[in-house]
Amino acid sequence: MNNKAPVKVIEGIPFFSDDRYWGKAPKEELEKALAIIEEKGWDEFKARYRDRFDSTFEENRADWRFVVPLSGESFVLDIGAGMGRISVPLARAVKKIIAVDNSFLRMKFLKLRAEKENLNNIEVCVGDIFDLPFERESFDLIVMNGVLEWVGVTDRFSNPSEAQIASLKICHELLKPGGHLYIGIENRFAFAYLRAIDHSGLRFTSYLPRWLANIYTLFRRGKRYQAFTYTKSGYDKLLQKGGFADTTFYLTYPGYNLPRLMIPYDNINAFAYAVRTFLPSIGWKRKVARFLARWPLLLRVYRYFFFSFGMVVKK
Amino acid sequence: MISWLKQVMGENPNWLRKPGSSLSFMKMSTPEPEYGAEESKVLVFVFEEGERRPTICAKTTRTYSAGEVIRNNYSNLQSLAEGVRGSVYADMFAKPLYLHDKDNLVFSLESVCPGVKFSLLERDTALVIEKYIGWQSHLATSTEKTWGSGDITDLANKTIKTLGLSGDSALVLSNYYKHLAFDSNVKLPVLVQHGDFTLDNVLIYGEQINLIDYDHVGISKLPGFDLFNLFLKSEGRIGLLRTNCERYLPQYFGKIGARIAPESYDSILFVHYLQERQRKMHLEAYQEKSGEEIVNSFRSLVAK
Repeated sequence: MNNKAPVKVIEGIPFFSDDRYWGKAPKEELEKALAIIEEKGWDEFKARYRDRFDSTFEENRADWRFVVPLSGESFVLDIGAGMGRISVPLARAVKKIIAVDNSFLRMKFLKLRAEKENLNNIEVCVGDIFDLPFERESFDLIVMNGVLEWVGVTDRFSNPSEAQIASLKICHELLKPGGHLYIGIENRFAFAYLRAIDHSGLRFTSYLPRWLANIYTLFRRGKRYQAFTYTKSGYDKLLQKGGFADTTFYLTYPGYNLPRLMIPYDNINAFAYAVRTFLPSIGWKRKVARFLARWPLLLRVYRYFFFSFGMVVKK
Repeated sequence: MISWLKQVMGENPNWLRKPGSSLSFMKMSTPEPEYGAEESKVLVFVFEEGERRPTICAKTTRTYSAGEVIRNNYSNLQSLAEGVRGSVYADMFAKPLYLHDKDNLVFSLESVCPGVKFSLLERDTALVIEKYIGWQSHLATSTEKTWGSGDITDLANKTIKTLGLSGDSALVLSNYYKHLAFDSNVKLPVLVQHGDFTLDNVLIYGEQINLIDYDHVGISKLPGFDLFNLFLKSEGRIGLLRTNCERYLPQYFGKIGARIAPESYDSILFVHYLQERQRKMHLEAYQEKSGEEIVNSFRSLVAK
């Protein structure tokens, strides 16, 4: 499957690009956790870290797979695999997973986890999406969950959109004919961004025109605005430029990282049914949502500001 | 699963309200508070174009090894459908359509019940209990099996044994059961019940009710279990357990042709209470309780 040799191999993990740690927890905390696994065992780690590192052991982050055509014979590439919250549950349903991540420590963790859980169909490597070593048409599914927005944070391209399009073209090339790309990502104009910080670390930047967001982040953070998110139509255009013409959009609730509900974007009746039937009735926001669900036109507007999308993209 | 689902749907166009219409799919993962990720279900709803509610619901689990919950759910639904076939209660439950159990994949398909959850508590409660009693009464006409006092005592003792209590605690429960007044001439029909009859599992559809969630169907065949659970779990929303029991149980027992004196109700309720504890044994709150604590807890419930 590989068409180029790794730059180096450390502890059985091939490197196709430089190690670059990322994550909410500091690197030192993960190093300490790995030492606990090696010295005191897996059970001790699970007991101490069950709710840490972004709830690593929850199995539902990959629940979008139930609307993606997959089989026990599928080959999957998980880009930005992190600590395996998608690779691990997927590994139980497919033939083989290749997990790629910029962080050596995260891949070391995933390798250990796969061994402990007897999942011998997970391979890990350290790599950037632009340095992937795989041959054309190798995969039935490629996963970019919480990745596409960060692809633009690179010096390889002058414009983040160009980097994102280039990454999509790479995925298109690596997918088998009829294969699927799954993307989980935020909506640029999500209501949530009116009160929470954007990927830039600042508020409101996703709402601003790109040029203004760029000036603002340069002024406030000393760096360019590169983590681009889009609206539904923006993603559609981006995917088309990446070579994809067949995308099914889902609204993911409560978010793409925990897709408890995946509502077909184009079916307003399904959206109304979901709001009426499944969304919790407590809290003023939900009450407003239920009220809106009575009028399809208002739901169409609400949809435009939904938090995040899941996209099933067919080659 | 989606590929299989589309294939099966394509082979059975008559399942759709409008055969040939284009379909979209909505996924919902059930929450996992009580069970592990493997045991919880994943549902995929099939929507036909232009329809306001889904036509079909597919149920599966994250792993094949956890598929027993899907097989049970499907078989429970079949037994419910069997019991109401051709009657006015035929639409009270989803219709079992298909079970796929091969190629390392298990999923079931069933129709989707229409309706909305409770809104007007008083009106809806009366409607729900009336329809529920009607259904049970219908089942009672087709069963010849009955519980006698000896059978109920056997059931109580068996349930106590399965609670995993110490010998002393089990003895306390057993003695308490003996202490409750019990008419030796009691006769109750053996009835299939929903097993998880709560407000969340009832949909109101005009003057009809639909029951959903079939994981626990048949968990108790001793009449009254469902109503006891409904009153217990809805306390505060639809009135007190004791008040509701006094109001509805005589009507219920009368309609199903039971022979039981009101003085014996507490004995039956105690067995229901033990069965409910048995069902929830995997939860921390239900573990490591002594016999005295369980008895006191029951007393405080029924004393209200």
